[in-house]
Amino acid sequence: MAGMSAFLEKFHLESLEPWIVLGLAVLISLGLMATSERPGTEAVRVRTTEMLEVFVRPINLIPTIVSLKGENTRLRAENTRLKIETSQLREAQFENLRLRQMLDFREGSSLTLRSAQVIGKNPLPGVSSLLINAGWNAGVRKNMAVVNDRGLIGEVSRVGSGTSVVHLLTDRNVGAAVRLSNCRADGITSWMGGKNLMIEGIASATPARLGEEVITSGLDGVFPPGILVGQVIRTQRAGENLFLEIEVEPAADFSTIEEIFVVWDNEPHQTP
Amino acid sequence: MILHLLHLLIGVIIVVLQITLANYIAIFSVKPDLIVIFLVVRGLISGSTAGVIWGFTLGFLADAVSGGLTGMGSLAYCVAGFIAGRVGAGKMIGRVHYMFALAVSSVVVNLIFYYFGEPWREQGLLMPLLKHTIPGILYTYGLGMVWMMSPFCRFLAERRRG
Repeated sequence: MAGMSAFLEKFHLESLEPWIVLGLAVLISLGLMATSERPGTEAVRVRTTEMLEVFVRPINLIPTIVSLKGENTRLRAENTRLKIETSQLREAQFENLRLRQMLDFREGSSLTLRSAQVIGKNPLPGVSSLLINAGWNAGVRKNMAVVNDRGLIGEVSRVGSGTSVVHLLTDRNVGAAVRLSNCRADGITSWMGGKNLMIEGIASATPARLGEEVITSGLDGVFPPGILVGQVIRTQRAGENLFLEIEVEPAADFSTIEEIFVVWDNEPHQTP
Repeated sequence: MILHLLHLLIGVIIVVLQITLANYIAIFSVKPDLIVIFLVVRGLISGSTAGVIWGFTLGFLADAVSGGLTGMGSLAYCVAGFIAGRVGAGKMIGRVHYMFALAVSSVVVNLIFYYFGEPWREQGLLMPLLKHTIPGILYTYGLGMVWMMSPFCRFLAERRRG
């Protein structure tokens, strides 16, 4: 900085210094935007997040009632596991009815859950993300599914040694392959603003019903099948459009997430 | 040197408060931008060059934990720091300057996030402005005013004058 000041003084350009610094900062910012997904930039972000974690952890400890927290975590994990198993059993029942002769069913849940605390949320407007206190050291990997006791939350998008960033279903960059539980139609979720999700790619002739549960189909190779996503609250056939407009109310309340579970899918599932 | 490190530590704590505490005071998922308030104060005190550097640094920290587009926060906040610095011209002049710098910086920051965050692609041009951008600006401005009226802020200002 001192070197630049001396250089500017030499050419009587001192008054331009703030403008030059601003220009440089803007150029670097635009450069960062252009290289946002590159491994180098990603590595710097991960290191920075790890550095911030040192400050974030103590602040999050303040409101914690330590003695109840552990028990609560265990019970929530149990509850979530049971809900997923119930959802998968329902799924298996439908499959059984249709494919009674084939006897090709799972014998139990192959999912393992690892609990984590939410230690930060959406620092910038327009990005739906969470910072959680589990990372590489705890076995978390990129693209792992994240759930809570109500249903699917999102996916892990970046992993540091002790923290990870989770993108929520209400982020414009996240879409999950889903299935309507009764009519068995497959689609992909997308977020169009607000609290609810839309399902794309379901043919307009599909007999989707209000209140029908929406679960993950596993076809995207990211989210394990059978996890509850939400329920249908609106269907609309728009003119000659080939696809139905289906609005889904997510099972999870994204504004009050405090504790989540990262899902290890121990069994390879169907991929496209 | 120690003073610079102390200021940096305060800046980091502001970013941490933005990702933790700000969620507890969100109204209908609209949060105040503590980073902008901090940058306006810093820019007014230290001038545009320092404001840009502060803005870029804190913006990058916010980018790192956001999971969004890297560079978006640093761009928005370096412009905010620059604006505050130009308004103050290196001196903490008075409440009017603070209010003006806060209003302009908050609007510019939120508009940059609106443009580069691209919520208008899904929700149309007007809806995200009405639901998030404008309430975000108003909330940040309101909290900035509360901060200005607080005894702690007055104490700091008195001390600075003294």
